Amino acid sequence: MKTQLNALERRIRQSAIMVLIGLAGTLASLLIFHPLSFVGFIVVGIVLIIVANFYFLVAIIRGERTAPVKAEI
Amino acid sequence: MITPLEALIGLIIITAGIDLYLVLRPSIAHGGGGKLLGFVGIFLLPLLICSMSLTTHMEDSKRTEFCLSCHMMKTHGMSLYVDDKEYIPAVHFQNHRIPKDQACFTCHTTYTMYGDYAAKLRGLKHLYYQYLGTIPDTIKLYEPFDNRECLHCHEGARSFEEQSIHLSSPGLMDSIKHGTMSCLSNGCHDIAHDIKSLPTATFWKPSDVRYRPDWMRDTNLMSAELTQIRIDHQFGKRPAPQTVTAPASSATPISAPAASAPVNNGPTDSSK
Repeated sequence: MKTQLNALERRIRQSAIMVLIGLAGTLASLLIFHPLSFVGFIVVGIVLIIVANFYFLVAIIRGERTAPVKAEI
Repeated sequence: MITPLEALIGLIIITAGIDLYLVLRPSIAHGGGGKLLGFVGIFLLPLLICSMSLTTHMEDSKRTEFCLSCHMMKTHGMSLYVDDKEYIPAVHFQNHRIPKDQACFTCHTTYTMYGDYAAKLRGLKHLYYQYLGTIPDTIKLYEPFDNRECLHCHEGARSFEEQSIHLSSPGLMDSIKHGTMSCLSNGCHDIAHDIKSLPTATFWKPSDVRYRPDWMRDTNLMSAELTQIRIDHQFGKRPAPQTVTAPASSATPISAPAASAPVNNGPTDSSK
């Protein structure tokens, strides 16, 4: 089955994946009481979520101006 | 009653659900509603979660358990149980003059995460030493202990303000309050953690088992053994292990975590 994801959809999906990974890291850091938990939260949680935030904003601002990309599923 | 941590976890799960939906159905972003969902699920809620998680981590780092989770600090944790009225931290800890679950932070308020940027960088350096570097044999404060840490509780207290020794000479009280005379290093209250004397110290053993730390609760256990190793490392030799039988009120004999360190069940006088 072939589906076409345009630039907006692709960026939204990538942002959501980054947030999901960031949330997983944040959740792990909250549940595991360890001196490295805070560092893990900063490196995995905050960084990924901030990057995803910017990427999402870029996706919304640029909209669908970029040419569609073919993706195989 | 939902705790803040449970609320935070719930928020993470809800946000993850929204994001999962956006991963599976990115085409909804074409509509206004989809964009709004994306804004909430990718932008708004994750930022809120970051902020709440940061607060939770900062609060966690105040906990005594957090400070003592570094192996190097175990001996400092032990010093809180020394049965000696001269030990300032021990007297404060054992008599609940400081919160037990924030015993370290109450007196070391500017340490690592709560200090300035230099202190925060030092905190990262401590982590490096703990996991990758070489832990120094002795640890020292980076700066002289500030009277401010004592005064934020004692200033204005009758026992401090009317203490005859504090009023014994004109200007003494002012110099204490302005920090020109140190509470700890002028021969008055000069015994803080004194790790070096731990192997010969007597330890207070709380009568309620729940308040006993692991190294005291378990006789043959790893934590006691680890503490022993730490002390050995610090003093360069391993003294012969010694089993100490607690007084009649307690049925369980406990292995002294520090060699030749007797454990005392007797009450500790709160007055100092």
